[in-house]
This record gives sequence, structure tokens and C-alpha cells, in this order.
Amino acid sequence: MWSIGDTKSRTCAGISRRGFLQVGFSGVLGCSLPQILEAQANSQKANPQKRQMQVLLVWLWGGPSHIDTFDPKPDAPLEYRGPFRTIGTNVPGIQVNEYLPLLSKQADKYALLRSLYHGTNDHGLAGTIALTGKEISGGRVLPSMGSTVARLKGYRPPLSTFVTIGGRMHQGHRPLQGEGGGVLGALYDPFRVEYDEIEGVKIHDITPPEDLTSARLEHRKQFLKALDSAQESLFTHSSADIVNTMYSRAFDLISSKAVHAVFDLDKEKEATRDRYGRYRFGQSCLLGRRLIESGVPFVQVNWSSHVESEEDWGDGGWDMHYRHFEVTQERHMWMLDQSLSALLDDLHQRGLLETTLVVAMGEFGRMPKINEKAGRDHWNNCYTALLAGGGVRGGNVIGSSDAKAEFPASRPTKPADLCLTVYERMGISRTDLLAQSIAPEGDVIEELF
Amino acid sequence: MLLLVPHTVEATPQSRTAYTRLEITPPQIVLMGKEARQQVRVTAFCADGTALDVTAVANLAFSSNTPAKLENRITLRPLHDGKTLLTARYASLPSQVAIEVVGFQKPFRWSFQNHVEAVLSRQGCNLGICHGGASGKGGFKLSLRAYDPEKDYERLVYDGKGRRISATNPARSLLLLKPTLAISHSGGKRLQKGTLEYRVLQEWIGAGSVISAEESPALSRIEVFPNERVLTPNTEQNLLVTAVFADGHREDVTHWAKYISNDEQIAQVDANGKVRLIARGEVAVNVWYLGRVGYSRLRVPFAHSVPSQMARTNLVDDFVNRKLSQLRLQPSERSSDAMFLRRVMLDVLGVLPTPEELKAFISDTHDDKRSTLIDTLLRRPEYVDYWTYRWCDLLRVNRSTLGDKGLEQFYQWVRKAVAENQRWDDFTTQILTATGTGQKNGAANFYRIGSSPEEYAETVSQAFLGIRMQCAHCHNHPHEKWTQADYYRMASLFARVERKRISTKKDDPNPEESIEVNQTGEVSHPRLGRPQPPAPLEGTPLLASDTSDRRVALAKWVVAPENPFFARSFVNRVWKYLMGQGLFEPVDDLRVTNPATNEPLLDALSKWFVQNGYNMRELIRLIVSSEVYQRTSRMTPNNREDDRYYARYLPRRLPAETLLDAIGQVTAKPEAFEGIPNGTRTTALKDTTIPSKFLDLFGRPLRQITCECERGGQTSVSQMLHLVTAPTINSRTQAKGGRIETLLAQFPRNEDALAELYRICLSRVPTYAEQRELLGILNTLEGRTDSEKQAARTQAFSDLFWAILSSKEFLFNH
Repeated sequence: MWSIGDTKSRTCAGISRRGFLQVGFSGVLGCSLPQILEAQANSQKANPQKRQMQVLLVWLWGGPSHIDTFDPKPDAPLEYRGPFRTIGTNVPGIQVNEYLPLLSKQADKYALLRSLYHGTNDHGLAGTIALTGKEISGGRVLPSMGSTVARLKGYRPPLSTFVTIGGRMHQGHRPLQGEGGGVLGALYDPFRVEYDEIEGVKIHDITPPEDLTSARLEHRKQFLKALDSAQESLFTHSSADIVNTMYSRAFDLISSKAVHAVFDLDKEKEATRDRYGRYRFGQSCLLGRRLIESGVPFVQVNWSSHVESEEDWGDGGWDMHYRHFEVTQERHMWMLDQSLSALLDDLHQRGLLETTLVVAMGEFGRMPKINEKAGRDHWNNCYTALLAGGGVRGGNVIGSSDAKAEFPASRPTKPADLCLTVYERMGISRTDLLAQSIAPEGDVIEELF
Repeated sequence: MLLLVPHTVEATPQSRTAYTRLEITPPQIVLMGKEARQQVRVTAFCADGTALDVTAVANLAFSSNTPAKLENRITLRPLHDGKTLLTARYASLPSQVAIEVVGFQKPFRWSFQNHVEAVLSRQGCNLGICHGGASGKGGFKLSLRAYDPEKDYERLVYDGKGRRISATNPARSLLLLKPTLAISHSGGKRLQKGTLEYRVLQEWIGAGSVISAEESPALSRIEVFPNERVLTPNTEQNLLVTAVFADGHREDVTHWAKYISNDEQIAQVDANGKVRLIARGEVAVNVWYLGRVGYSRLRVPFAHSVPSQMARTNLVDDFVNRKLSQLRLQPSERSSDAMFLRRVMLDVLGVLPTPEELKAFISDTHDDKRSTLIDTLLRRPEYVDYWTYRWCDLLRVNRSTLGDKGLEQFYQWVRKAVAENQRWDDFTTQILTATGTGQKNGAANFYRIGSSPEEYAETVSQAFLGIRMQCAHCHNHPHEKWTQADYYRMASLFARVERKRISTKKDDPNPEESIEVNQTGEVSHPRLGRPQPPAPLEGTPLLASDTSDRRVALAKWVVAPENPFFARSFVNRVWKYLMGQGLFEPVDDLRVTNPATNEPLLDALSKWFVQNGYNMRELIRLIVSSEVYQRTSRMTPNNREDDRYYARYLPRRLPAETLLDAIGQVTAKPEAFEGIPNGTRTTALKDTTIPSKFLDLFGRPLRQITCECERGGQTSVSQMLHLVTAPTINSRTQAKGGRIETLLAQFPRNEDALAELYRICLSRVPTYAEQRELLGILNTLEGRTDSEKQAARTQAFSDLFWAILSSKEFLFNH
């Protein structure tokens, strides 16, 4: 019955006219979400090969140091390579930082893109470039990768095509421009979920005001249903039919146990939760996997929601101008190692990695030359992204940096190339993007596959 | 051969009824040279014009001594010079065509531009995902869909260390080894040995891999047969595509053209141009051949009974009714007065009628009350707000780009034009040729929203001509005739526009500027490395030595009555705003391969608009006065399939701004925007930067891009969540001293309160069924004390109020 998402896209929104109708005819207030979830789960089980491509973007805002993570330079002078050592991986010839021992055993699963670069050292601008593939020009902000997918793939139940785990991102008090719909508007902003250690999973707009009790909500649904059946003959049109479906989803989101189950991390084994790590990033990655499993096409997991804020130790992301080695060693590195390796492992074991493109990156790298405060400053001239799954050839390094990790030495790549690669994997063509005037200028990085 | 029973073609009523005429196509055939080929089509017609492609089953015979033969029953191939007649017979009907073979002995060489490029395109080598991508594939790059033959030739013959072509042993050329998988090819098998396509490449290499302009006459256009046709369901129609060259000669390119159906639920087309009609309706099958485009419009009427007479008020009705008759779709009945009032007020003013307006209109007994109403509406101040807002969307009037002052200047300029009903051609000309400071000339701000000649060219094309030129920025437009050269000719018109800073304040984010036109300045075509002669899309180029403002010539061309884009794109926009769906969609994507659902109507409307002095207000009046506009949105069993021919009014969600205003009006709690006088309606705002989660969620455009698609008309779960949980409705429906409390105090009886609530929100009274059902819920409220009962009543009504505001009938115009 449910044809949204599987129907061959023909309209701008990615849903064909008859696709709409099919949904609309599925009942006065549409199918209920539990039914949908069940139907989807069944179809996925019955047809494991038919899983659509999905993306899980691990967004390491603040700018992780490439030279201290995935592009180590053990032979560089001390003031570049720093105090950390380099270890080998399970793929001969690929080395990573010593504080990534778990990930070093999974190098056969991922590819490293070591030659990314762009032109700005500003977190906000660079974040926008990395997420959208293009700099803001004349106030015009391209949609982020997830929003583009949401626009061109159409809506997909149960949640949204694009779910972000993490709050609105800010650089100081300024919001990051490029993390949502941009020129496409708020309609394509991510559906947002947050996790913190104290409150657990938080979902916006899903909790009714206090005086709207479930009895009252039922009352309202009853009125709405009465009105709807009286108006039925008036609205046999695709655009109107879908309203019922949307209400059905909204009410289900508010009240359905099945939906909340997706967000219920207690459904996971204790050992799994421990394996991902009992901290915001770890549990966000776990939630990300649950969302991927439930079929959300584009999931973004944010390491943090602030850079350049007062809160430095807690979560200023990967932005470490001072105490860099101290903080990364004691906190960031092992967290990244533990959670990201858990994620790759888990996706692999569940047979999801083949159809899930995992991208882990920040908006730039960090200056290979250590500064006077034993920190590293922003560095946009060369940085690394990790890609796994979704057909990416593991154990593969694309592009390289020079001896001091300062500039690309071979196959320089730009964020636009990476974005277009993601789009290509999702079956979105340049023509699709051009039609919306949202095409970044670049080329698919073929060597990844 | 005797008459055969068609086996691939399903028997239809027509195949049993009598055919009256048989036609063989093309009507005359000249096979020139030994490689000439020409497919034929045989069509049988019924008396009512319905056609059936009977090529596969007709009897075809030459008269004696034929100099040509038929391959696969449909393709004529020459044998020697000479003449013959080909006769087709079907259902006892004959049809004849004369065939002449000439130049069979003449030496023949395949042309790189006209044949090799056609083969590379046909095999998909130069698609964006293959070698046509910006960086090619596997070190080999071709121009996207062969837009640059010279460059392709260079890359094929000289690049790749010359291994792509082997002059001594053509079959050892990489060009042939790779796509046949003789050696590995990441793109897979693309070419089969022994095919015509293989032979073309091999023989071209064998003949010295020549590129010759003289031997390759330019391709002028393509012709698609049939141009238009009425067919029966579950039949097939084979298309025929003819390339017409500058030297007048014609080649059948059916086998090398590319086909795409614009509605695959009605018709599907295969790689050889065979169309299968799988459902009733109308479809355009688009055809592409070496950068030239065309289409075939095929129609399978519905099987409904339709009235012979359909109501008519003006020319809109003539053309829509004709289309409905052709497709056999029944028009829905006329809308009620209440329905019409709500609809036309929302569409023309963006406001809901008040209960008083409703009562007055319904009790008015004049026959011409609808046209009187339209008159009144067109003179109301909300008309100016609403249409100013629309055109400010189109022109991207926004604070973030223009600053506060620029916003005010440009907004007031547009507003004045709408208020004075300025001619659309004058409006456009003033914008296109604007100079000076925004203070002196508000329209000059147009050039402050944008910074390069390329951007101006794109914006002007899309906003005023409905043409998307973006593709042609980097390469020839893949779905249109526009070339990269066209793009840069257009951009050249803006090459001398300068945004001159006149503000002296440092670090001013929106400094005062003046738009100046310089005497010099050019923009270079990136591929050719030189400026293109400045010229509008299809206009004559200006002299390079001319130092006058090039934009004046542009404006003259844009607003000329004979411009095929200007009026069409404008009337289609207005049509969309009023009718819910453009005659072509998207409204800013006017191109040959995106034909209107009703071309004669679009023609007639454009002509009418030109003849009536580009009068926007009169255009609106014309459309909303038509019977077509005034039909109900209820479908009938005899038009239920229709979603694009206007058999009924198409329901659509209210635009974000109108919806928020409507909520404010019926709850008597208008939205209060920070820093804006209370009571200002959303459509009276000057731009779209005022923060509002509601407006963003419901698709308010940011005015950052020139594209109608910037406005989100979609429905999303987030919107519904917002309606259910957010204060936008919740706090209003249960406000102390709000609408419900006043209403309940005024109407002690539930049925009276219900009726008034319906009038306020839905511009009607409840039906008997609604009243019974809703009162059933409202009258069972419990409470021990009077005040408990009172509270329960208030809560129940506020929940009902919420439900009404969340219902489709409220959210939609219908």
C-alpha cells in the first residue's frame, strides 16, 4: 500500500501523483504508523538486497586535527607531528594515530580522503561549505546534503527524509547557516532529535502543551475526523489527500509507541550501549544506527552544537587552539575511536553497511604547525574525511597530503566533490540539482568506489 | 499478402469499425546515397479522426523493378538509382508514396558532426554520468551530449596518445575495443559488433577520421511525426524523426534520436521511438537529436459522456471547454455563491470573507453580483498588498541583500506600480533599464540583487521570460536549444552594468550604491575565450562598437509583442496563482520540451494580454470571471481522472502568509510581528525576513533565488505537529476573552454557536450531517455544576475550533 519512497520519482518533490493518491486512499486518517513501520520492516526483511541507499554523516564540528587522527606524519619535524605516535592498521600501508586503536583494526572497512581543501578558516563559512558544497554568496545558502536529499527524494515515513541528532549549531551566537534547507527553506530543514546524558532522547514539537491531555487530543481527533468525513467529497485531490496522511503521522509521532520505540535506546542491550559509549556522541551514534535501521534516508550525527563558546572542555567540538593534545588525548580521541568503531562494526554485523554510506568529517583540519599555546589553529588547506560503506572500497586512501600535511600532494578534492559523491550514491543527478539551482560545482570522486 | 489480424495491437472498437482513410508517411521519399535509410509509417484513420498505427500489419508492396528494398518491414534501403511507388493496403484502403533513389554510386563518407556524434550520443557515451561529465571518465572526456564537436574530435583523435583511433587497423581503435568489451571498460558493454553504429565508427576511422565542415551541413531542426494524434488505449504508435539540414537535405534519424515521455503513467516510449499508450489522457513524447528538440503530442480520450454545450463567459472557457470535449471530460458544476466568494477573495486578495460580507453577498439578488464583486475586489487595498507581495517574491525583494533603505525603495516602487496598475511591459522595461541610486529610482535596486552579468542574465531570463538558462552556463542546455554561446550573448548585455558604491561609511554592510552603465566592459565565453556579440536570446546582435546601454535593446526585445516568451510566461504565472496549476509547470521552465497542457489557450491568453495593453488587473478579471474559474472543486464520476485540464477548480493549500492571516482573522488574534504595527497582515509585510516559525514551516520563500519553486507548497509532518502542539493555533483557540468565549456568550444554544463558527471560519453553515455529528459530541458534555458545564462547553468548543482550523477545508482554497 505504501508507495511513497519506493515510487519512481517524477515530480519535484519526488513523489508521483499516483503515489500520493495511493497514500491518500489508505484510510480516513491514513495508515497508522505502526502499520507502516511493520510493513517496512517486513519488506526489508524479505528483500534485504532491495534496501535503498542511505547516508549517515558523522559531523565533527570544530575541525578535527587531520595530522593527529587519520593523516599522521611520523617523519615530520616534532613541531608538526606533535607528541603522539603513529600505529599501523589492519591494512598494510595505512597508518593512523595511536589513540585510535579500535579504528586501526577496521581500516579495511573505510577509505580515507586525505586531500580535501577549501578557502576559509571561519567555522561558520567552512561548515556551510563542507555541508553544502558551496560558499554563501549574496546571502544565498545552498541546502545541506541532508536537505538536498530530502528535497529530491521526497518525504519518507516514518520520520523524515533527513534527521539530525543534535541541536541547532552555533558559532558563538551565530547560527550555522548551512546545516538546513538554505534556499529551499525550512521545509527541508532536518527533523531534529537531541540526546543528552541527563534527559536522554529529546524530540521537538512532539510534546503537546501540558493542558492538551491525551483525552483532549482524542477529543480533537474525533472532531477532526467528523469534519474530515463531511468534507471528503470536496477533497479528492492529491494535495489535499496527503493532509490526512500527515496528520496521521503527526498524531502517531505524538502518541505512537512504535515511533517512540525507534528513539528508545533502552531497547538496546546494555553491552551495545556500553560499546558505543555512555556519552552524548556515543549514544547519538547508536541512535543514528537505529534511525538508519528504521529506514531514514539521511541521518546526521553531530559531535557538538557549539564552537567558539565559553564551554570549552564540555563541548566546543574539535576546536582546540590550546590544550589541544591534552584534551584530544583525554577525551575526544578515545570517544571518537570507541563510538565510530562501534558504529561501523554494528552496521556491518547487521548487514547495513553495504547500503549505508558513512561519512565522518569536520569543516576543516588543524594547522600542522603547533602554535605557541600547544594548540593547533584552523587549517583549510588540507584535511581528511573518512568514508565507509555504501559501496566505498575499504582499505583505500584517496589523495594525499605533503610531508607536513599542509597541502594536498595528489588528487586535491573539494567539499563540493564530496557532496556530489554523496548525491550520486543517493541517485541524485546533476540535472536534478541544476533544476533546483542547488548544484555545487565539482565532480564525483570515482576512486572511492 | 492478405490482411493480417494484428497481433501486437489489441483489438479496439475502432479496429472493428470502418476506417475511412489510409496514410503512408512520409508523403515523398528521396533516398540519397548508398547509406540512406528511411522508415515508413502507415496510419489508418476513422471518420472521427482517431488513428491507428498499422505499419506492422499493413500490406506493403513496390511496383516492379524497385530500386529500393524494405528491411524489417519498415526501413527503406536503396539498391540502385531509380524510381518506384510503394503501396500500402489495410482494411481495403490503399495509400501510395513515390520513392526515388539518387546518388547511389556517389562516394560516401560518414560525417563526424552528423553521424559519429549521433552514434556517441545514442550509445550514451557522452552522458553526464559517463564521459560527458565535467571531468570525463577514465581520462577520456566528451562534451555533454555532443555540444562541442570540435573539442570531441580533438580528444578522440589527438588525445590519449592517439590510441583511441587506429588509422592502420580501425578495429584496433580503443574507440571500438572498449565499448565492445574487447578490452575492459568500466562503462560496460555499449556497442555491439556488426551493428550500424559499430560500422559508422569503424568506417569513419577507416576513411581517415576526418572532420569536415563542408561535408557536414549544419543541422537546422528536427521534425517529429506524428505531430499530434488521437489514439485508442492499449495501442502503439511508432514515431518518425527527420533531421532537416541547412542545405535542405533530410535524413531519417528515428534510430538515433532519444525519446522521453512526459507522463509515463499514460505512455511509455522505448529507445526506438515506439510509444505504448497505457492509460487515457494526453502525453507529450519529447525527442532529442544532437541538440535539437521536438515532441509528439498523443491523446487517448477518456470514455466519459460529456455535454455537447458547456457554459461560457469568455475566451478562457472556449479553449478549456474545447480541450475537455476533446478529452471527453465533464466539467464540474458551478460553485455556490459562498464557495465563490471565499475562493475569489483568497485568490485575489489573500483574505477570508467576514460573516458580514458573506451574508451580504448571499442575500444580493442581482444577476451580475459576481462581476460586481470582482470589480470591488480589484479596487480593494488588499489587492495591492497581495500582488505587491507576489511580485516582490519574484524580484527577490529582501532586506538581507538590499538593506533597510534598499528594501523600502524597491518595495515602494513595486507597490506603486501595482497600485497604479502599471503595464507589465513598462514595469519590466523600467526594471531592466534602471540606472542611478535606489533613492532616485527604486527599480535600480534590482541590479543590487546580483553581482555578475551571468547572474543578471539568468535572473532576467527566469523572472521575465520563464526560461532557465543555468544549464547553458557551462554547456549547451541538454533539454533545450539554448547554447552556451546564447548564454554568453545574453550575459554580454549586462557586461557594462556597474554597482558603484557611493556611501563613504566604512564597513557598511549595505552601502548606498548607484547603478551605472559603462562605455566598455565585456564578459568572456569561457570555452572560446572571447566575448560574444551582445544579443537577446533570439534577437539580433548589437554592434560591438555601440556604446549605448545594451539593456535598452534587451528591454525592447523582451517586451516586443512578438516575443514568444514574455507574455506567455507572465500569463501562465498569473494563471497558476489563480487556477492552482500553471498551463505549463514549473512556471519558470518554458521550453519546447515542456509544452503547455493547453497550448491554444496559452496562445490565446498571451495574445489577449498583449492586445489589452499588458494589463495585469484585467488579466486577473478575465480569468476569475470565467466559468472555468467558477466551477466547484468537487469531481464528478466523469472527470475524476482530471488533474490538469481544469474540469474543476483544483484545491490547494493556502500560501503560508494567507493561512497565517486567515488564522489571525478568524480567531480575532492577528499575528503580532516584532517591530511592525499591530494588525499588519502578513501579505502587507515588505519582505520575508521577519522571524516566524509558522511561515517558514509552511513554505514562505526566502527571496534568495529566482524560482517559483522557492515557495514551499508542500504539506509536511512538521507543519501538522506545529498545528497540533504549537501555540500558533492552541493559544488562539483557547484564549481568555477570545473568539470562543465571545461566541458562546453571544449564542447560548450550541447549534447557533456552531453555525456562526462555521460562517466565521469556513464561510458557510454546517450541513445537516455535520450538525448532527458535531452536536452529538458537543451536547454530551458532562459536569456537575454550572461552572463545570460552562468550562466543559468552552473547552469542547475550543477543541472544535482547533479542529476546524486544522481541517483541510480551512487550510485549503477550494
